[in-house]
Amino acid sequence: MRVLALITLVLLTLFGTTLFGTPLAKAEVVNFYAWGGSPQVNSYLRWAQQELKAEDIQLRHNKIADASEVVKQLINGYSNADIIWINGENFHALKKANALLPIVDDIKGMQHINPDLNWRTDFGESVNGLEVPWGLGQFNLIARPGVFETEAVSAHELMRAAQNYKGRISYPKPPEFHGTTFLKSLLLSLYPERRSVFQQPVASVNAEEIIQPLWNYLDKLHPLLWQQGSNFPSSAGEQVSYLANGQLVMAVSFNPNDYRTLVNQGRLPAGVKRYTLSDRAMTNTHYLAVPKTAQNPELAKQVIEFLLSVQAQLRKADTNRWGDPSVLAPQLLQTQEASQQTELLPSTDDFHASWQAYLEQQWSERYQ
Amino acid sequence: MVRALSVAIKFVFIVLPVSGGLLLLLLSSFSAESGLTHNAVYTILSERATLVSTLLVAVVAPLMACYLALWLALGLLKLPRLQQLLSPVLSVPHVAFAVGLMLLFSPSGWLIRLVESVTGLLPFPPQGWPLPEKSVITVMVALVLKELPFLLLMIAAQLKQVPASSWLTQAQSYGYSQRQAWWRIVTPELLKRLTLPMAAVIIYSLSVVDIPLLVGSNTEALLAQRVYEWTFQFSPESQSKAVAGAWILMVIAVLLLFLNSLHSGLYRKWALTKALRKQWSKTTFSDKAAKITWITFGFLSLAIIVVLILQGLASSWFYPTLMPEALSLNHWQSEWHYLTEPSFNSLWLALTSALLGVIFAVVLLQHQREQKQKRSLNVWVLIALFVPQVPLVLGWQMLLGEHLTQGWNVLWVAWSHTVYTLPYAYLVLHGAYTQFDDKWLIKAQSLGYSARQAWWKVMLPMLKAPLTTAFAIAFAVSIAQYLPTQWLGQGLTPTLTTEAVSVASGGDWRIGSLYALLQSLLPLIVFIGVALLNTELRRTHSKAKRYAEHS
Amino acid sequence: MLNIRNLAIFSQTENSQNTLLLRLNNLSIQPGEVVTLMGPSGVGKSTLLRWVLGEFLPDFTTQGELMLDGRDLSEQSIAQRQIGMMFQKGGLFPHMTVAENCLFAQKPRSILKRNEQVEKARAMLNDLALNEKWDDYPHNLSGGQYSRIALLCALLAEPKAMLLDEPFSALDAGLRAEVRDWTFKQLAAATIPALMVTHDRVDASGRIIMVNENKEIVDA
Repeated sequence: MRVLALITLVLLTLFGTTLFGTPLAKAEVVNFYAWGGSPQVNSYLRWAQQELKAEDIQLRHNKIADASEVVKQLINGYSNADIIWINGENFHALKKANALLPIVDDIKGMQHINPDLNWRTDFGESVNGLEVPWGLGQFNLIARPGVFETEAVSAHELMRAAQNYKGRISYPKPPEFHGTTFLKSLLLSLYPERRSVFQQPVASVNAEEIIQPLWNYLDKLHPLLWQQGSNFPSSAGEQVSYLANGQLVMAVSFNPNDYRTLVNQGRLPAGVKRYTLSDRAMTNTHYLAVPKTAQNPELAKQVIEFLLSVQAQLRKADTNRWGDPSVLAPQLLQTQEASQQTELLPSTDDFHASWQAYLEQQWSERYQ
Repeated sequence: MVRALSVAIKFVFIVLPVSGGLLLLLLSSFSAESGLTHNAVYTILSERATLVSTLLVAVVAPLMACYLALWLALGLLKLPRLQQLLSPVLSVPHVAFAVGLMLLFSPSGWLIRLVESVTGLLPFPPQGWPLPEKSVITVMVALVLKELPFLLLMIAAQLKQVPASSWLTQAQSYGYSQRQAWWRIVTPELLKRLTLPMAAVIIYSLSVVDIPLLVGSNTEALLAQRVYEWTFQFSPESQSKAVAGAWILMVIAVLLLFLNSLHSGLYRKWALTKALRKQWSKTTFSDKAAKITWITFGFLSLAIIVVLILQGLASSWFYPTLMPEALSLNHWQSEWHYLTEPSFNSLWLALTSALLGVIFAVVLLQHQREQKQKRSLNVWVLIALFVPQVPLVLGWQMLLGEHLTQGWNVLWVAWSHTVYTLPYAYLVLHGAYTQFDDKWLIKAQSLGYSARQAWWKVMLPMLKAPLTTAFAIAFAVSIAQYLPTQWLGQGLTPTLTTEAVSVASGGDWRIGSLYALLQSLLPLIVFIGVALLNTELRRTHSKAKRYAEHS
Repeated sequence: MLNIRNLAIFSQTENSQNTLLLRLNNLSIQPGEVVTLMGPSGVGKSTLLRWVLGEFLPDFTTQGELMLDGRDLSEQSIAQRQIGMMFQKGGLFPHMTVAENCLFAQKPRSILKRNEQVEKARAMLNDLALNEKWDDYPHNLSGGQYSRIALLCALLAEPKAMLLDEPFSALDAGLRAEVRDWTFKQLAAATIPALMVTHDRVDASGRIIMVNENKEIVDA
């Protein structure tokens, strides 16, 4: 029983240090809620942690499996997040809930943002100064060599490949955003001449008629897909694993450098190639935002300043590391390191936000 | 004293958490958009595929695990040491177990790679393999294999209280074969005692989210999985669907619990009335098959750990190579530095909540012992296991509200873990504790010890085995907690499990395996420690020698 | 001297009616004397022993006087009564070695120092030639060894009286006589009153009492 007493004592000590250690150290802590699914992103943020220590800031990367976890908490009002990494649907939900601080005007780094970057709307929704651009996403396909014949994969080319590689092609299941973007890109490929329609709200156009060809197309495509379209990869990351172990010959990504970084990391076999679905890559921005409930908004802004610095953006774009394209003006990045960056793909704007939910809903009614 | 404590524990760790969660569910269903909830119920009920696969998983998987366990348990009676084989499997968290299973048996898994390397017939992973990456079947297989060791452990505990051997002998003297005697005499009694562990297994299978998210079908998703997904979508429709889904889950839970309560009675009736076939000549075959299954099971758990280790060491590993191209410690080295905090958190949370869970379970059981009439299992202690976790934890967030932002999160997380360790500890301890023979306590008192001294010096030491097993199980339960840790901890208590789940969301199984391994390692150490404590220490007589020498 | 006077034990039935189980008007047992209570099973012999021992009997109501060497025991706890016991099975704690059992038995009451306690226990084991069992666990003892060591431990606790419930029924016939004779010798040497319950006449010793048709215990 002396053992029991000893264990209790040790526990109490452990408990005490954890309990009383935390509030003391709280003064300089900035809680950054960000997706923790990518080792590259995680190591990048670890580097940022080290750098920020010099500024007496303890950046804490609270890893989550999905940004919606923290969004849910923020909407319910029980979150200690100081900075969050979001875009699209999650931003819309927070904007609607009036949960974000207008921070854009306070960030000095904003003056160096690439003027060509269309960051003021996030999936068609006006940003209103509530979030700061951090990086770029460009939708692309990664495939084994020889799967596709052209660098820009049209809907027709995809169908041809699907016939050649029966059961080896798939896409993440909408509403996973890679999956929804896959549908959007297909729409653009089926409707190259009517690009502008998709910039308008769904309600203002005859959406049902416009997307009918997409359903006709998918009805033909799905029987050729992995598991005959009865299941889909749950995420882009899962699809990358399927590509790696030969289940599939194709994956999707929002990082235009992934076809290199993933090979560098040993996650994909050498030789995989990058393609765009339709003639241009669907391009969007991902952002950093500070919730109204943040306990350290000033420090949070300081962290964001750092993440927008040339040094931090260059490192982020390094294809041996994360490889996420910079949001800064190109002339700022004329250094040696910058040569490691890949050129961006020809881009096209994302659809108006209302298409997102519409496509997702219609898709699940038909194929789920 | 015991009574007051037991009331306090019941309030803080059972009534408060469960009613808090249910209250939230009630509130949100009667909020402004209750009409929406009403519609959502119909929408969900009209999706037959979801309901069918949900029921399939929640009914078939536990039943298969149960009868498989009963079939294997005869081996346990003959060779109690087999019980130690269960520890490694019990200590591997569900998700890691499912991943290991996929790495071994999926269409691109080791087994297929082996076939390819020998025959060269499968340059691509085969299609139409019976255990695809994503399907209801895959979920069931993972659940059955993971629940099996838990049920076996429960049976092993009961076998110490049922005089099974003498029953078997007697029945055999009447002319039954050993297997017949087992199924007709011992099994009904065991099933009766397994009702509550089975209830926990059924509810777990009904409400499990992480395994179907990983290996389940996503077009014919299970209900719990969909409720989980709806919770994180922000349209009013999804929110009301989430609430409605949670209610439907509860209704199904009540229904299944009712059916479960009939199970042992029905079986007993069957065992009594079913005509006896002539001496089943394949009895020895059945015994051999059970033996082979035991061995396979041991190998399987070992193989899962090995494949996770390999995956964690692989720099790259593509189909169809049998071994990774190169092994390196890169991932370990890069992660090592960042593992201290989550490992430390996992460890102290598990130690604290397991210890509290066991102590509280002992208090509740002691209280039951003192009320001589009420020694049967108290279902209410287990109620937290019967409520789906998402609404429950959301309810706790609401309950705690402002307190969650005041930096005391470690306390709340430890509390939430204890809510789960307590019922499991209670479940494991109940039989041994309530049926502990008073004669030992009386004997000690007749020697002049007070009742308290007798409890402390005789009862606790004699119950060392069930106590330590309960501790080990509670420890593993705490290690595996994701939702309460993430939501109540608010990132202040990252554990190996929260890290593993977030890393897994990226699909990189090399790092995922690394975390899964570490996550298994802590409970494994505890299980092995417990096994050593229960066997080795018994054999060494150092204690007695010390008495003699120091005197 | 152990005295039981005007004892009545009632068993409680479901509709909370009391039925008489056993009655004992007067029983005195002298130091060094063994009294044997005989009768078929189910007449409440063991219940009587449990009452003497001081156990809480939830399913029975009892009345009666119990005196030991002039002390009134009726309000005393098991520990205070200083009555030793030896049951058919389980006289030794299974989680302790023989040594630990012996020392555990002496600890509360013995005025001896620790090393003297060890010596005393060893000496008693020595007399039985069971010294090499000192470090063994009870489940490693043979039936005869077990019974003898169990009694030894009970005696080491320095009881003022001894209760024996079917103490030899688990032993086979040859061993039984030997253990029985040894046990009675030990009890006589300890000069304490002993009450033994058995259903087997060969085990009986000294004065025999029995339960008659009126559920009364009388001299046989």
